[in-house]
Amino acid sequence: MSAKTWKERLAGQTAPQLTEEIDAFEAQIHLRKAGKLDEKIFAETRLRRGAYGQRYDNGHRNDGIQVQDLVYPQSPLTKGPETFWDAPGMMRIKIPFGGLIPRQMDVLAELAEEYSDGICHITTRQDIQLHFVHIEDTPALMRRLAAVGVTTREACGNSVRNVTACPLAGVCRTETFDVTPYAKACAYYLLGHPDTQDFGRKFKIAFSGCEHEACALVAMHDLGGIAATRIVDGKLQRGFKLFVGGGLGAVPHQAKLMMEFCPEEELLPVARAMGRVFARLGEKKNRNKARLKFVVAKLGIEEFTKVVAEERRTMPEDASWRTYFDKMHDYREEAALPPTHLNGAPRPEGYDEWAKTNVYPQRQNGYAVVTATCPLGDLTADQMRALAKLADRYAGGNVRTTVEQNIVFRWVSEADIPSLYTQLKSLGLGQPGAGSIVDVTACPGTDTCKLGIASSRGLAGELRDRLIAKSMELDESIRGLRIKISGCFNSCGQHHVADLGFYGNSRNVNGFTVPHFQVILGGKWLENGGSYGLAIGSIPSKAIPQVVTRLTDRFIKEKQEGDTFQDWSKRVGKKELKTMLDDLAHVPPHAQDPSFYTDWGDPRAYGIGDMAMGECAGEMVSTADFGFRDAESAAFEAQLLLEAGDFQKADHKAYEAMITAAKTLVRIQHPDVPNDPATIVEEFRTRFVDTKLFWHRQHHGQFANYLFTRHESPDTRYTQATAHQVAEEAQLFIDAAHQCHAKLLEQTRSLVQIKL
Amino acid sequence: MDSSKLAVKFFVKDASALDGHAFVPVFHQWIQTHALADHLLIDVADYRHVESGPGTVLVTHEANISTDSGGNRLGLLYARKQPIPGDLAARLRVTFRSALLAASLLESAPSLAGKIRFRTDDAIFRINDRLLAPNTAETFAAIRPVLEAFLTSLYGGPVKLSHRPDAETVFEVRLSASHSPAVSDLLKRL
Repeated sequence: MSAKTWKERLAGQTAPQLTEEIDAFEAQIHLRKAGKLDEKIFAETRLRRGAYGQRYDNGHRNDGIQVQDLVYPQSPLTKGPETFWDAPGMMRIKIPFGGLIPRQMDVLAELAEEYSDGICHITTRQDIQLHFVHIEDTPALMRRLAAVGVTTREACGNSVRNVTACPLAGVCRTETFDVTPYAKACAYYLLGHPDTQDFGRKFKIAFSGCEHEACALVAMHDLGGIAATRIVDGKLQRGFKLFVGGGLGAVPHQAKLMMEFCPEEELLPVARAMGRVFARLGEKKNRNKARLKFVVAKLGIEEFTKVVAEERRTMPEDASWRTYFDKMHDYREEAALPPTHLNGAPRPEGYDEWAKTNVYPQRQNGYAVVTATCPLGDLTADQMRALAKLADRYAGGNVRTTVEQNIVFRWVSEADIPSLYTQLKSLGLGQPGAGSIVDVTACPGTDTCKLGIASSRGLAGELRDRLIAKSMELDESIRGLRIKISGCFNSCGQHHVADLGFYGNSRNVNGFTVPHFQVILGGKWLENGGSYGLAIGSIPSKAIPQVVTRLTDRFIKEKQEGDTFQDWSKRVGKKELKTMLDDLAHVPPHAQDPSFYTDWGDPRAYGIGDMAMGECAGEMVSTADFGFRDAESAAFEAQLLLEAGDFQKADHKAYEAMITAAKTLVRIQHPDVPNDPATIVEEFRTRFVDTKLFWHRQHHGQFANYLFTRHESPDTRYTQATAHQVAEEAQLFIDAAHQCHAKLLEQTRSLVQIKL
Repeated sequence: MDSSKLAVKFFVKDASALDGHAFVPVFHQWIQTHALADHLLIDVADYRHVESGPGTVLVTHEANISTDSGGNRLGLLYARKQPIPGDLAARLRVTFRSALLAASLLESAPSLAGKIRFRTDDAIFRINDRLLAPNTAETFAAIRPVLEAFLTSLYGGPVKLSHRPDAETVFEVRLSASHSPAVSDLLKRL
């Protein structure tokens, strides 16, 4: 019989742990729909599975005349605060270090076609995003990804986000060593690790092989490692220069040096120690102050370093890091074809211009990295599938996404580059200018983001079109400049590290709201995002192309020998730069030029009345809430198994539900409680039952006994009756655990009040 | 075949007179006026920068409606996302009716000034569902009788169906009719 669901179809093809996680998420979807899971908890749950909200999911949309109510079919059901269930959402797919293989690319293409709008979008942190996805399609989507080794877990929410790395790692001519295996180990070691589950905000990690190139933009990350080596006892030792506390957002912070040299074997334990420190000391209530950068700023880098070192010394041993560390040295990439050289072979038309920006000769003689230019980071399902074939044929399947929203092919034998170019061109992905002024990058902005204020993609598209149209005339000195655009101050477009950066805001003019962009000049892309640009002033969106022209023209005229755009803008100074743009800040009256009152690529009269709360920060949900959610989820699955007649599994699942609830309580007092049921039961007995914390006024210890009985003497007949009883008892046990937790919270609040 | 993820694409007769920018305001206007009564119109996504892509997409709860240029041929693609009650014949009817209604609205959009006309003698039918409708000869055999009967009734005569199995792509059938009735005429028959 053919499979009716992807779960059936892919049975046995995904890692059991991934299957279980997705089963649990699917159960949580059912629980939420049945009203048995709080919307905040479900919101953070789905965020941690990569299912993000999207603009207009609050049921309001400015249609240009009025703010319309969008009445979604299952209203008032929500998937988070002010987030309607049926509203299309975004699925973020983690691609650690941007590494993709053809099978994964094929699946991404399939998912874009079947669940999204046919487009795969590459983000500024090497993820892939699919937009306009329905929440009920997400478990199938996750299963199909899991079957090819891709996860969406912790792609959003208050968690360790995608671990990024330089797309040239391993083939770069100036790197100290290949950081790829370290980025990979870090990504998978910290994924779902208990010490990374109680953050107040997201945590971003990046690895670079070079200090002076842009690489992975370490300076703007919570934790960044730059490859370093030293000689110890005559032996070369690998390690990392570790930076912490960087971040963009409204108030950008440059990361600070925490360790001059962290030996490679210390990398994962130190990262874990940092996670523990962040979970303990990071702000949990005010999301605007909750990133690690605020902890570092508050303590100072010296004190923060000491705290992390102490945590590293005293934290309970977790030997699992060794598994990841030991595998690191097995990492290999192989080329599809032997190395060759072009040696004056004929080149197709346009090749030379394209090769200047889109081909990087590798350290390995006879090979090169080729960039497929993806306009605004978008490519169709057909293009993705075609790239997968090209990757197989030319690159040995070695493909990476980049933070500049392109895809690079590695290990391309040089003589094959013209042929690859011709094929990329026929796909619409062979435009020249990767990493140059025409390769404008942008976050989604008002297109799909709930926080977007202005159309970053609309502006990026407009600038790109204009610059491409005159690309042949562009002065050499400005070709290498970078333009980066964010839809708001949250900086997802990384505008702070661009030569010309813009972020969306709005101004009220003549009784109208007018889209604007703040101009940020002279950020440093090199040296891992070495410094941030200067804010010059806010200019109407429609005048930004003139801003670009005026600034680049003056730079061409005034540039001195060896000047970068940054040098020039610093020399000219903020005041003068502002003065030269002052007239562009003027908004003509509506009657004179109504185009100023709309945004790029969007004919609607501009308005921000339909903005919603963002989900970047996730929901403030305690680990206890998550623990109870997991327990509820397991209890629900037990009921489903019971219904399906699988009594033994139902019994086991119900037991698992009780153990999870008990562990959740124990962790409040003993965060490092081991995961084995015997210890959990004993700790639970000592801490909660013997102390009568877990005690019902009327039923006394009865609910605790459900757990003890099942743990100590399970009824192995596994009949419907026995399984049913355990499933019922599990639910009662969880309810009692909730009450116990509530009681503890009340006691804590009373103590705080007494102290006050 | 239980899937509702049916899609149909009608090609534009002559794309040379059309400005790709023109569709964005039209779709926004449809949202303002609730132009498709049985669809919740949500947003417009603009992918004109992508070659052979979905162009401009009108995102609705029920379906994506796009000025698709896949295969380098401009057309109106209606791709259903949400379930349609009833058997395959009923689902085909809803899908074709919705697609033809959108095509008819584009043909009559004042801002397009009659520059767009759809041919109906050449179209593509898809099922965006690799699980329930893999692109195999078996799927084709399973749906063919219902699809043929539906199209014969719609076109008032036989419509040729061409199918090529391909494990990579979604299920797709090329529809070729001997004549090209006006969109409005086909719509009247649904």
